[in-house]
Amino acid sequence: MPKVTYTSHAGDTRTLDGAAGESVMQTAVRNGVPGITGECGGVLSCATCHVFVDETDLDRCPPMNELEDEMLDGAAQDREPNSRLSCQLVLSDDLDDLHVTTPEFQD
Amino acid sequence: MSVIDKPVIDFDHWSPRYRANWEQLAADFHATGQPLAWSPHHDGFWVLADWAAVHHVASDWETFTSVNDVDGTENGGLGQVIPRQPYRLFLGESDPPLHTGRRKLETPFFTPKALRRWRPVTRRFLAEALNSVIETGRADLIDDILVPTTARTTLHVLGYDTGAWRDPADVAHKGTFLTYDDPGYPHGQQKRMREAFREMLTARSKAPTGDLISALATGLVEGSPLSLDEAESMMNALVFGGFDTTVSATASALIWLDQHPAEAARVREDAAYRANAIEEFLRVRPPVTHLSRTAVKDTELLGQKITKGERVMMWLAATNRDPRHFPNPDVIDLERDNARDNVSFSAGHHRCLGSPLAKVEMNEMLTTIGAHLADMKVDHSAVSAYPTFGAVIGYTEVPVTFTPGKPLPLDETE
Repeated sequence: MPKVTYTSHAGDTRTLDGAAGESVMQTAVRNGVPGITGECGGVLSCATCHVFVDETDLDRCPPMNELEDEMLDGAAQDREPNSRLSCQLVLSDDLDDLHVTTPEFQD
Repeated sequence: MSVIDKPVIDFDHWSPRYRANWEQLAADFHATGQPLAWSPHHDGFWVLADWAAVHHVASDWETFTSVNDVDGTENGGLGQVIPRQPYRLFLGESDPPLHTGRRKLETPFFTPKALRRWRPVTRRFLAEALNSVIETGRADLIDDILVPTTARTTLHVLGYDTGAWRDPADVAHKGTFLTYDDPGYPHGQQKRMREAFREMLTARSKAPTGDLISALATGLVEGSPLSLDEAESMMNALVFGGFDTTVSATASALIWLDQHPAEAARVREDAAYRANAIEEFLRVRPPVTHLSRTAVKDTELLGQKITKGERVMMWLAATNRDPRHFPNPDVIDLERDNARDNVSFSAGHHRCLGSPLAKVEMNEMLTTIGAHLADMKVDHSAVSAYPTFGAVIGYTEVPVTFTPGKPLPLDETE
């Protein structure tokens, strides 16, 4: 079962079991992780599931498409080079043990 | 499988029976244990209210199309509304990749960063609306406060003259609850609004200003600009979907809160409680009754065969009452854990783009109206709901009285 570790802006850490095929956003919302809203449910129309991916995990993530790139510009907290929208990070046997930090605010 | 083998339900969302009893009809439908049945009304359609299956239908656009193929040149889709509408909405009634490309022109105007610009705008329009009645001690929440606040906010986002809000407000509000042949139907306003939209689109295509109208006038979809019909249709949809729904949702919440003063006080004071309360109000009083899809191939849903060409109506109002997802679904619990799982904004690719703006507006109105109209009381005996609930559950009139007060200083509201 793929795992995700969420670290809050304040430094609190939670490691959760996800499921293959489920996104980092969905795992967070299902478990009530604060700091990820996921308003639109994962169709790239809201930019409220912004996360910072640990530098060491960044290369393992799927490439960013143009729509995600544009939406990140509208995220509440300014994007960084390691910013992603977590609805686009779908867990699998390959994308396991991912570490992300949630921003201070999503709206 | 012949029609006779289908589970059949006598269901017509435009009927007086639906308007009077929709909550009971929803409960009865779920009590069958299989909330999927065939209605013979409006040329026949499947009625669906299973929460998980609605998500499936809303997401699987390759099986369940949103297209309204009015000229018969595409996939035969029958659009999002039952009965089928002769006027096509080019964003709502399209599928990816065209839908994704069209939506992309509008999304930048509804991001969290964009909403920071719109919140003070809503506040300003709300204060102006409150000031128009605050010294009189009485108001109609709908016409005096909710409609002007939300109509002007939406028009501001579009880039339309917010002083000229009455035509679009009439089109969206009266056009939702009056039938096309009603003497009060806003035909003239609709004509003027559509002409104004087309003129603005043409002007902005030559001199864009960075507003939403400019984005529609100059943006490319799959490498091509939108036609004037497509762009105008997208503007009409923003007006139709953009604020009368928020008016209805806010009115429903204010009517309920009027009878629950303890919860009303907490809604005004506690932001986290308020955010969840808004989700619960949306769950139990969703403005939009239904949205529909058309099967473009034979498929199966909840073990039932669905045949190519058949319509599936996602009965959103009843899906929000699915007891398998929302325990004690008829109870209004403002602290319900999963209230945000409501499908009032639909689901999948077509989920309402403006939902974050609607929630900002509801947030502002639920906080400010009760705080500034001192001792406000709804006259429940004079509340008047839409004559039909086929498209939207909403109100024509919500009269209130309050202790007259002094106008709000407008500069302090921004």
